[in-house]
Amino acid sequence: MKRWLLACLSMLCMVALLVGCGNDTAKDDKQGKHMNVGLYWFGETLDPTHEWDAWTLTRIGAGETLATVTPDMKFTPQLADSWENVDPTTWKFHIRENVKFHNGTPMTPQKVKESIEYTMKQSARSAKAVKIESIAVDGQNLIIKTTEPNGSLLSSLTEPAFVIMDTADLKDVASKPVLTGPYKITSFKKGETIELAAFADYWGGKPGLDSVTVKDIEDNNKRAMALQSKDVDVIQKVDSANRSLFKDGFNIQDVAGVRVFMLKANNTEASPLHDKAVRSAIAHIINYDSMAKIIGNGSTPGAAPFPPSANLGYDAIANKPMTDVAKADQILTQAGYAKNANGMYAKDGKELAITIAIWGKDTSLYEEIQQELKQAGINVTLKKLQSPDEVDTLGTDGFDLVERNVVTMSTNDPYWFLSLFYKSGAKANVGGYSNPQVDALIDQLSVTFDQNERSNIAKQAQQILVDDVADIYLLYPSATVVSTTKVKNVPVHPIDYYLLTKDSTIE
Amino acid sequence: MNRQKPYTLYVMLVLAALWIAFFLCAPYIAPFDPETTSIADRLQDISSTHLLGTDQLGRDVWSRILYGGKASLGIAFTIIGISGAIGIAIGGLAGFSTPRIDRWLSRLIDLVLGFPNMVIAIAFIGIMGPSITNVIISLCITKWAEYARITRGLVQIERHAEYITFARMSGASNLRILWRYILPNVLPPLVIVIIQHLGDAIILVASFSLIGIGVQPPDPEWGAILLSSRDFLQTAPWLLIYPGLAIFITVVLFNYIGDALRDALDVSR
Repeated sequence: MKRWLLACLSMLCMVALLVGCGNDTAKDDKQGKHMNVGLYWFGETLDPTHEWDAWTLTRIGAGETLATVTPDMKFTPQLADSWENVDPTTWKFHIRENVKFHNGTPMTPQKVKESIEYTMKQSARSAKAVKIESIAVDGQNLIIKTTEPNGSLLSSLTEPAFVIMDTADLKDVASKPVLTGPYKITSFKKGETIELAAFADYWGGKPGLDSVTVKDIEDNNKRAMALQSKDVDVIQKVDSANRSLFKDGFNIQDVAGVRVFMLKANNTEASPLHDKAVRSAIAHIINYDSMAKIIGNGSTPGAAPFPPSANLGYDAIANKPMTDVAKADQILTQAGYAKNANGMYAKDGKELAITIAIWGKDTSLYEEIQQELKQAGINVTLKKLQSPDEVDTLGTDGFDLVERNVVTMSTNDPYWFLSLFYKSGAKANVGGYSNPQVDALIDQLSVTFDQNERSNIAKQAQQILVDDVADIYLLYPSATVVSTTKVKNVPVHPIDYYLLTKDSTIE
Repeated sequence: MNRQKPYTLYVMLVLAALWIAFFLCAPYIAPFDPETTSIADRLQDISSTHLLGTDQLGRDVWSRILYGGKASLGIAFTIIGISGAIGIAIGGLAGFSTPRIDRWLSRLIDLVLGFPNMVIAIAFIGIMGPSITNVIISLCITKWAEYARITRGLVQIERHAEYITFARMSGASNLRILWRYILPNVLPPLVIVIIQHLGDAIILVASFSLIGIGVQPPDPEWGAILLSSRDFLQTAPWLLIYPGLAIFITVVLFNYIGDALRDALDVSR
């Protein structure tokens, strides 16, 4: 009997211990207004020039670029207060005065020049995007000369890798880069947390928070649970499975994002999709409403490369594919396909069967497509790749359609997406799409500076891509931010590397 | 050996037979096709049409678990069957042949036993790509060695027994001795080990699917069903509970049978 008692008591002690652990981490001893933020990704470091790590810096309000993008997708001044395009290869940026780095050093045009040059030296991707030949300081102005006319210069400089930092102070660049944003990094633990404190000398005024803890919670379920238990006050991205958990006491903000989920089609001879009729038929069989429902969270059914939020005349696009199985049948019949004894389409005795290469963790979207196509008469095999990197090495006989999830308007500019995915021979153009008209438009885009004209060119390219049924565009997921009702001014942005601002606060 | 009728064993065997038959009959008793989706019916709770509700694509969970059982049990049986056959053959050969061959085979068995089997399996699937066949091969590569070692030990004990000497003296050939005398004596303990391993095999296959390198979507398999439902842990827990229960019941059943068999055959030598 005594032994039982002892056992029970020790069990109780253990439970009490565990419960105790849970409690004291929840309440921290931070003074003033403190916010806990749950992000879905950290990079390996916080060095702005390393891979895509700078995306975290703009997300947490630590780093700023010369210009930035508003939630309604317009360029707006940040560390430069104005700019002009002097001639096709010369740009003049007027640098904001009275800006200080987190270490107290004033941000002079010379410092900005050094920062941009440092980024170009360290990051090949960034250097390639800006095509800068030389930078000169002229009073409070920076004169940037490009090697060739570059219509995307301004947008490329808004990419977070170009956050302006003090390159004279690089000793802790991987964990505490010296930046200019409203929040100053005080500590960084890879894969765990970033601690930030308000930067008192911020040029835009006093930040709304005294301190911020940013946590790296990559698993969708864990991130949702962290918000549920109020371990964090705000999270970015919630999946549709967990969305219904946040009804009372939470705010869900959605905005049509600038990503597209698409199936990149194999346009080469190696695939039956070489025939435009087959691509078009598939595009007419897929139920886009179902696609949007599966991903949920207010995502929009697809039809064209650029989502409506990209402001590239989405509504005016002609011939957008709509779900219409009868029409798909008509298209395939015209192309010489007929249903065989198994109820599957066949041509010259060969059944129409396609392979969809997928790599994502969540395969439900593609399982649904497989069923829809099968019911319409096209057999589909799902081929699981180990990682998205494998897409580049698939080879044209390795797939007919391949999963792609792409930011179409990164840095608020259509050039990157079009040139990378649709230019003949481009790296991400794995399906071998090639149309001289599109190539010419992309080239024209790179030398056009007027924003309206750029939009017009992108619109024309988009119309050709839709007419050619270059790829199958499934849906546009929305960007989502969920927070407790105490959180104020953490707006959701179509580009998800913008989150915390100077005005973000907590009640 | 025959003190008391092993009633527990009988009960367990009947239960297991029913349980297995149930899943083998999946195509006849499942009310829906396990792969047919219906977005309008997604994430429904238990109802008379959908006995265990529906998943995120509107597929019937009950039908998927039935078909999934067929896959899970089928794969586990195949793995144990193949590795058991290879293991018993090699172990038997090692135990019964000349010391020279025995030495080499034993070294091979020890070598394979030295490999961490999960690591080998994951590496194999990583290279060859995930598929049912590759899961089976990857586990058979290392698993046979366990049976080979046990078989070799048992055969070596038996071959020096007196009745073998008598059989040899009466002119029985090696093959006859192996088949008529040794095999019947070493088989019972092997069968027990094999049945106990079935439970492990089911968990292994399910865990491979759960980490995404086993059975691939849309094929229903218990581990794969768990993987595709894990996001619904809070909002639709039934998607995880039922396949989890199915795995649990199956494994417990096989383990009990293994134990009951051991008691009944009294092979605790």
